[in-house]
This record gives sequence, structure tokens and C-alpha cells, in this order.
Amino acid sequence: MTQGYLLYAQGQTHINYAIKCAESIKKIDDRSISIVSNQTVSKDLFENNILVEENTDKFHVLNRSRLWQWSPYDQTTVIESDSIVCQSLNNWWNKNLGNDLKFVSQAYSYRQEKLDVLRDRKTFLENDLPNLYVALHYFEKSTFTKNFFNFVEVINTQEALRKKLLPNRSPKIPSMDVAVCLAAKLLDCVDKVSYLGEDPTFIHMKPYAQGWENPFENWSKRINLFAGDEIFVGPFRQQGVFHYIEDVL
Amino acid sequence: MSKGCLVFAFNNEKIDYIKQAIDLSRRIKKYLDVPTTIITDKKIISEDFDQIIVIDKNFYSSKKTYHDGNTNERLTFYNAARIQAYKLTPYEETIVLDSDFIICNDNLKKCFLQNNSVCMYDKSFDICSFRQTQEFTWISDIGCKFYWATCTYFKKDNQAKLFFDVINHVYENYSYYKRLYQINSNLYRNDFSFSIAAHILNNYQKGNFVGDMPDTMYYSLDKDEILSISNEEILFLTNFGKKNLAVKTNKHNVHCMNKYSLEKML
Repeated sequence: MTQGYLLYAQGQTHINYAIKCAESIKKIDDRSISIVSNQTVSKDLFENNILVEENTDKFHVLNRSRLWQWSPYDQTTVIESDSIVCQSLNNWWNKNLGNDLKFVSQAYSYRQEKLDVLRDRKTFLENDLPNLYVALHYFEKSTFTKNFFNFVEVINTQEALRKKLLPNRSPKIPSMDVAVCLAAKLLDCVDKVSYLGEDPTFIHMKPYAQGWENPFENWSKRINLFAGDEIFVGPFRQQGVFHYIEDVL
Repeated sequence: MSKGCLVFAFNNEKIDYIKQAIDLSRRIKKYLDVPTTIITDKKIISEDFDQIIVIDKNFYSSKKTYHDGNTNERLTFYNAARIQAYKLTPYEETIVLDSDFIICNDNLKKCFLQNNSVCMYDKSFDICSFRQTQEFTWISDIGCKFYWATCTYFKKDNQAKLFFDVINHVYENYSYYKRLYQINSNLYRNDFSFSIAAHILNNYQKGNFVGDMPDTMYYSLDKDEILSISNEEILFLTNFGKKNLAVKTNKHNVHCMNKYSLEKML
């Protein structure tokens, strides 16, 4: 069985992020890394450079729904390119082996507190969706995985269906997180696809979810990032997978 | 293992901290049944203390606004000697207390039965429960967890020595740490240096270098007035906005921040 990491990046900015992400993975893991992109990426970091068509929507939901098809590995970990891996992911791999599909289900602030999702995940709350994060997920090539992502693609390509399935609040722009959570709910597989472990910690830098009384629209205007051999946000050393979401590196 | 409490008390222009310390030492004897050592700046005669240690207070001072309900004034605040608690304590196990901490039960005895080298309160409750503030949750909006230096337990061991060494380092480099943790106040606070030291020793992460105190700490703000104090009950007139509410605590340890009001009641 082959194992590896798959990163997705469209456009030079995200390719740069993916390179930094891959460099951080290389520090902690010998597993292969591949990149799915709309352009050629000339870096030795990536064992495979899978070329795909450019997506024109904001979140590239079509391409990102098809990563399971394009992955060269039997067992794949997908990490969003604007992330830095700060610690070994062996526990993640060990816990997920043998499962079809797992999404990290708990995000943390830079202070390692559970993320305050009340402000940032209104669509999820108002439609009673589970909390799953596409930014870090694992899949094995299986019929279940295929069916799941096919359904995600259907949700993301049919606006009328989305409105029907998300009656209380429906995002105007298709979103992978919303579609994945909706698919998990409707396929009644939330428990099956939720990664419940606390190792690795998944740090999500949504500025309004950091527990600040005075948040800014950009977290990097509220607090400094120090990125060297280690990542510090203000005085906090980061661990796990650090999803920085802004152009800070 | 010798056990005892340590109280720092340096009078300023208006506040008689030594008077508070004497009352506290009596409560310590009554509820915890351990001796109290006072650290102060003048020779005093009192049978309430096991030891009286005299040090120079002038090295550790800053100006602070003291509130008494709706009025306030700037007075000298001699607070930083606390960083020498490890060096000065005559006990192998010590609880350092603010003189304005009113002990009303024996729960702190449990400190002496647990294994952590250092214990502090990180959770505390406003006696006026609906006043919402993050002031005592984090040391600043972006900063680390807030620990109360008000009541700190430590053993005389390497872990605690390291903790106080780091506190001294933070104190000596306070302007740097103030910026790093985005602390807005210019006043040096032991709560902040103790909290930062705990954070550093947790490898700049969330962690458990400091253990939990075996009790719940309540606090009243300096805009609250104390109306009466008995052995176990304290009656407050709390203030929120332009409103007042009477609150009585019963068998709870309370940190009373209105020094004027406390002094009147002792």
C-alpha cells in the first residue's frame, strides 16, 4: 500500500504556500508528497505534479472534490497548502489507517483552545451541520470515498439543491467545508468520517474565532507571526498543523 | 516538612497593609492551622507572626490608582518583592497570600496534601456573577492564561525554584515581555509575571506546569464596598454601571480589592 501527502494549489501564490507546506512536511516525515495544480511546479519536493484544469470559482470546489481520483497513493493525507506542519503526523496516520475517509473535526485557536465557531460557522450552526474541516483529511481509495466525494461535487455544482438542503442559510459561493459537512450529515456518516483525536492539533487562524475581545479582519494585523525553525504566533509556540489562511509567510 | 504562609505587607501613604496581614494571619491560624511569616519593611512587634522578615521596600515600587468605590487616588504600590518569595520563605511548603485575601474556610489545607510543586488559581469568580470580563481569563487580549499571584502554593524544590527564577527573569525584562504579550498597563503586576513564567515553562504553549489550587477563589472589585465581615460571611455592596447589588459570601475565600473598605472593616 502506498502512502503520501497530496497538496492542491492553483496559482503561484498557493504554489508558494504548497512549497512551504511540503518543506515543513519533509522535516517530519519521509512519506512521498505530490501536488495537484493547474501549472507545472518545478520543485524536487514533489514526487508527482498532477496537472488539472484551472477552476474559476473562489474555492476551486470541483478540483478539490476530485483529489481522491487523482491521488497516486492508496492512502492519502490532504493538507491545505496554506498550512505548516509543526509536528510528526504518525499518530494521524496510525489512527486513520484502515478507514475510508477522515476529516479533522476539532479546530483550535493559536492558544490551543477549542475554536469559537459561533461567529464563523453560522451556516453550519443554522443548518445543524457537523464540524468537519477539509483542510486536513485522510482517504483511502474505496467505493465509499468515491461516493462521498461524488455527492460533494453534486452539492457544490447545483445551487438549487444547495438552497434546498441548506434552508436556513445557504452560502452564495460553494464551499468545500459546507458541502463535506452536508454530505456527511445526509449520508449519515458523521461518526464514520470524523477524526476525533487531539493529536495532531489542528490550528485554524480564523480571526474571529481566536477568543479575542478585539479581533481584526486579518489576524496578522492583531498579532505577529514568527516563522523560523518553529512557528510562533505572538508568544505562542504552534504545534500540530497550523492553518494560517492569510498571506503571512 | 515545615508548612506555613507568607504575606508581603508594605504600607504606603494611605493603606495599612500590615493591619491586613495581621488579620489574615489570624485567619490562617484559625482555618489552616499553620504559622505565618510576614515580609515587611519595618520592625514590628506582633505575636501573630511566626517570623518577621524585614527587607527594603523602596526597590520594588510603582504608582497605582487605588479605587474606593467611585473615588480614586494615586499611591505608591510596593508589590514586586513577591518575586523573592522562594528565597525568603522559611518553610518547605509555602502558601503566599495577598494581605487582602480573606480566608473563610480550610480548603487551602489541601495544598499540603497534593504533589504539584507550584499551584495557582487560574479560574476565579466575580462575586457579582453577571459582570463579564476577560481581564482575569487572559493576561491580555492576545496573551496567555491568567494566573492569580494572589494565592500561590509552592514547595521548596527545583521545580519551584525554576519557576521563581523565571519570574525574576520576567521581572528584570518586563518591558520586553509587556510588549510580547501586548500588556497595555504600565504597572508591573505579579499576576502577569507569574502567568508569563508559567507560560514559558509550558514551552510557550498550553500546559500544566502549574497545578490547580484545591478550592474556588472569588474576588470583589475595588469599586465594590465591604459592608461587614464575620468569621465566614462577608457582605458586599457590589457595583456595576450605575447600579448596586448587595452580595453575601458564606464560607468562601475572597480576594477583596477595595483596600480602603477592607481596612475600615478590620
